[in-house]
Amino acid sequence: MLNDCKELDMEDLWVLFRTGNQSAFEKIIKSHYQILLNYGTRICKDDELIKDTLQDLFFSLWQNRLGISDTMSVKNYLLKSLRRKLLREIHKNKQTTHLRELHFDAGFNMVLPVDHNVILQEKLTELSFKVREVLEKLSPRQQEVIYLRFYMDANLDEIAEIMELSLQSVYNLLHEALKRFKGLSSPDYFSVSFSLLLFLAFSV
Amino acid sequence: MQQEPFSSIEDFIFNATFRSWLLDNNSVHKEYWENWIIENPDKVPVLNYAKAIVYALTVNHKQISEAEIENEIKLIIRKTDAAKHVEEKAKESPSLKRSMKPAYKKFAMAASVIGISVLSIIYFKSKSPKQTSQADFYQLPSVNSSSIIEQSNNSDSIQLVTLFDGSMVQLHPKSKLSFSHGSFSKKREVYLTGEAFFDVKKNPSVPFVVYTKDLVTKVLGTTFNVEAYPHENKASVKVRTGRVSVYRKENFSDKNTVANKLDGLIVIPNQQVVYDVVNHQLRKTIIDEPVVLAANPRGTFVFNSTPLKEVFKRLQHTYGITIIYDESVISSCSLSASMGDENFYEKLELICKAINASYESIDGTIFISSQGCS
Repeated sequence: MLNDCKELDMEDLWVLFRTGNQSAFEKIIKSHYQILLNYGTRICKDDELIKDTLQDLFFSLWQNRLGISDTMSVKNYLLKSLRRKLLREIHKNKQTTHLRELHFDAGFNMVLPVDHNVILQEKLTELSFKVREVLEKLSPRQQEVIYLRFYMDANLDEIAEIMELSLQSVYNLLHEALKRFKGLSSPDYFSVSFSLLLFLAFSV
Repeated sequence: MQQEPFSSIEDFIFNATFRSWLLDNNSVHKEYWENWIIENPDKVPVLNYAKAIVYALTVNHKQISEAEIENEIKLIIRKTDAAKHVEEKAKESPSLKRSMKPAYKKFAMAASVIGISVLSIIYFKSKSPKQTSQADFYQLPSVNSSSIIEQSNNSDSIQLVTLFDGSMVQLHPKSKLSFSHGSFSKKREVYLTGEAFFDVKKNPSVPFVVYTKDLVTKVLGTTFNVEAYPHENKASVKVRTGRVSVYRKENFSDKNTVANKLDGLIVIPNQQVVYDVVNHQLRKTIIDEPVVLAANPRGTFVFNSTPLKEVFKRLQHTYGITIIYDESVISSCSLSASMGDENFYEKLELICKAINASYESIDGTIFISSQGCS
């Protein structure tokens, strides 16, 4: 029934879904499944657990559709629910309290640049390695902020919502992360200040 | 795209075409960005910075196929359909509505609920151990009688039941499953008459227990089949994945499962426990048609003067069935053979024939007797 209205955007689908429209529901699942899986695999390494959790998540979404508000971004709402459910599952399986600390592994996997300009390639590699070194030293929460910023296109408000933190805490996490980047000296080849530009990248 | 200013690193790294150009060799945006560089030489240093950051921030995202997503959607829809079914049933039967309504809001998961009569509630309340043997319907121990759910499959096809913990049960025709939802989070207990395949959600702190007339099957999270039809003279538990413990009912007590461990049998995949109702005997055997268990079977069953020890090792790895033999006796044996679709027993027979040995299956384990090879 929805086939001829491809233009429907997520908000419309969300409204339809809440009135009990199953094909809208299926479209919502379809368009978010991959990114939810992506995010889930940063939090936990057990693919089966993530899939089960997603099943639960969508199932209870359907069950509770009448009580869900329409004000928030569908994507952020789903990311936040997945995060919460996964953490609950993980805590359930780990009895010890010291493991309650959030585990988040962005899984940064640097791709080595290829450029026909050999000097540029060398400089790019050098800079990528430096950025990477800093990234690896970041705390799980800091990595998560950066991951959400880059891969989920979330702004700081949205990051705060997904991670269920105050906006101030997100700022603090980011500020701490940026301080580490400031220590990086930028290679002479580039005429712009590294930390300044990186800051631009994160300030929203 | 042309009107975007691209003046800060941010403008680049959040641009999908830019990232695609860097990370995807076959990107359709290649030409655009190569031209862009020529046209905007002043912005190249910023662009290069952005490049380095994109490279450094690359992560591994496992791509899932469309078909897999469709499959996951099907599973979710099946679950919601099952829940809908419960709602409708509840509406149809007013007596059920009263008792079920607050509960299904929270747990609407059972595939369908057949009416609970006052009679069965009384039955559950009057619990006495003697009663279990005279009826086909078994009582749940220590149960809050107001919240029993009884599921009968009177149709000709297998019925899917989802339990409150997310475990799935394929209930066979002429079979009945009952459970209480009041205590399901603390005790996962179900009663079965007939046959069902269980796919139990892992939860190490709350074991899942299936009671049948004579047997008690206890698991943490696994898939297995239980068969216990009322008028058959045997009952069986077959394991697909994980491991389960099976006890004779009279030896299983809730408080004291550890002390009774000796009496129970641990069953692993490709094994089954058969209970002989007449002799009250519990026996562990290999199932009639063992299935390949190894996720990626190591190599094929093509052997070329392969030491017999290796052959047995491969067989054991593939089917998860323990094979016991005297290593010193068979050390002189080797095998050249090529096997394909033969099942476990056929393969075993071929091997034994080739080296003039014989086998016996005892307690779910294969014992090889051989005179050795010269």
